[in-house]
Amino acid sequence: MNSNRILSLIRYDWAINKNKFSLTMALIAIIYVCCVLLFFLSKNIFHIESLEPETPVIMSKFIGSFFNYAQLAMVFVVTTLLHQKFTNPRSATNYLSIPGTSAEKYVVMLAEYALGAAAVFVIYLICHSLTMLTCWYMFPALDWLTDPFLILFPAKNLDEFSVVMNGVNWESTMYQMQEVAANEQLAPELFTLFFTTVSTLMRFTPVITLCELFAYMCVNMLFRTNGQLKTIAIYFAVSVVFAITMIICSIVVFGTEISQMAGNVSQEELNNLIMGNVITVLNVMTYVCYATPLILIGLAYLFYRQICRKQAK
Amino acid sequence: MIQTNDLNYGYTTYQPVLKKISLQLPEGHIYGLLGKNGVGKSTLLKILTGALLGEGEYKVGGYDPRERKAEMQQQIRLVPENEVLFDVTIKQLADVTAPLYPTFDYDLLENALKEFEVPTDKKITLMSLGQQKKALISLSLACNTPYLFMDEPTNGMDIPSKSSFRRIVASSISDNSTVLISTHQVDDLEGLIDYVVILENDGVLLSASLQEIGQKLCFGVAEEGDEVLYSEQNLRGAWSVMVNKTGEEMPVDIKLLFSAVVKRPDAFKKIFG
Repeated sequence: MNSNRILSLIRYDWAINKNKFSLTMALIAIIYVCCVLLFFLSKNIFHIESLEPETPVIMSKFIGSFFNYAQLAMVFVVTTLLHQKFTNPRSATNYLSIPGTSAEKYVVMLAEYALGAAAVFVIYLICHSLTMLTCWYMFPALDWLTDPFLILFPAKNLDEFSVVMNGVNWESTMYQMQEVAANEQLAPELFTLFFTTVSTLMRFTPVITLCELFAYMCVNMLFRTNGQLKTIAIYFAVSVVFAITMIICSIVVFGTEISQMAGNVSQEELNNLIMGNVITVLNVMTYVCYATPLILIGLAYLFYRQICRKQAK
Repeated sequence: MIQTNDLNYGYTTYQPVLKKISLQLPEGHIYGLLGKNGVGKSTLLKILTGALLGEGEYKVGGYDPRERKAEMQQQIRLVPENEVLFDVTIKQLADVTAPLYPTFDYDLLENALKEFEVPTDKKITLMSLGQQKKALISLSLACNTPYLFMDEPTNGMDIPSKSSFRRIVASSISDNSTVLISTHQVDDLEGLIDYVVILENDGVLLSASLQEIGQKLCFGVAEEGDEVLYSEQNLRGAWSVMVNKTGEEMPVDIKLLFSAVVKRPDAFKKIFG
């Protein structure tokens, strides 16, 4: 691998795509701003009118929570730009024929993912700092510059916030059920196993998604024919269906067990558990993340063997 | 040298575009790649640069394009029919392209842009089609690669620009360069190419130098006793392709040759093998 050529390829890509990239960054910054405005407008949820001492912390965690989703969104945006590079015939012909080995172009793609994630982080730092400073100026009575560590690592203590942000429908229900089961001493292990397994898996979602999407782009570049791309799309769809089936089965099984054991869980709460919300979609992605790379590796090996057989004829 | 041996390719499994394409193209020539619509001329150029992965044996300059080695890609430059539209000026694009090609020549770029009268401070996306073509051809010539493949390079160019194109290509390439130009506009290549390759879906109909064609065929109004291989009525009368019995090199009418070879391939296979 030639590091000079890798840098030249990154400069080449930047020169061509910098406008698209800058527009995406601007959109993310605007969404951040809208998020902050939403926070101020959502008085009922966050008790802004009363300006409680917890308000700065809640706001920091709210923005930090959005930061995680923005990073994931950035991963998808970079993937879309890279995907276009290989599925648009003009850009695919251009990119595949300019000098650079496949390994060097993989490194360039990885660097572009890292640059995207870093750019989101910089926007977050700027927006978050400006927001906190503005709030400090407007409401000096509160401690807005609380916990500077949280500014750099917004995922810290996110679990505590998720009860407020998302748990009205799901996690608070689980907490309630867990509490009931613990009190009744009815198979608390069952609650712990389900709840902690899903929570633990969710923590790794952005990393696993990144690896998976990167692998998908590498396969795109290596096997650039329309037939292969359709096959990749089909097994992606199969993986999603598999993951959705898994998550529904696990929720139904555990949900049924919980309701039977706890006894006083309402149908509405159980429906909230099963019916899709944002958390359920993320759970689906988590299972897809773990299932798809194995399928990708297997199918990539089959494609490689197919091509070797065709060349041997 | 460009060598292919039973090269096959299909965008889908059931619709092959190229079948059993076997070619041997020595270095140092400007080749005109001709063929009807859909025979796979553009596809062949993309396969030879490694953008598409063909089946069978083929090499460019001793390298297998499927391996996509950087050393090979630095020796080949493709000017596709439909280029990516870059939202930068040609100079800015040259600044990021030059480091990828060790043989890049900025003087050649300046001269070509000047000859083509291409504005250097205007973004490529804001240029007309003809200006875009000229700008990107200038950039590709400036890469100074031993192998240059061009797909319909004169599309969208005005008549003076086509004349400039022939002049610039002829003066820019070296004796060891190999240029492969795919086109329908055979008139635009007159005086530029010295080798003709005519493709069909299931093989190569003709691959010969203009010198060899001129020695084996003659073009004109047929007279009594001439062995006519193909004839077309035009304003001049029955304009025909005939067997050249004298062996002296005669001027080649590439347009008529193309029509004749496509309509009567067997007759020309007997002459050229």
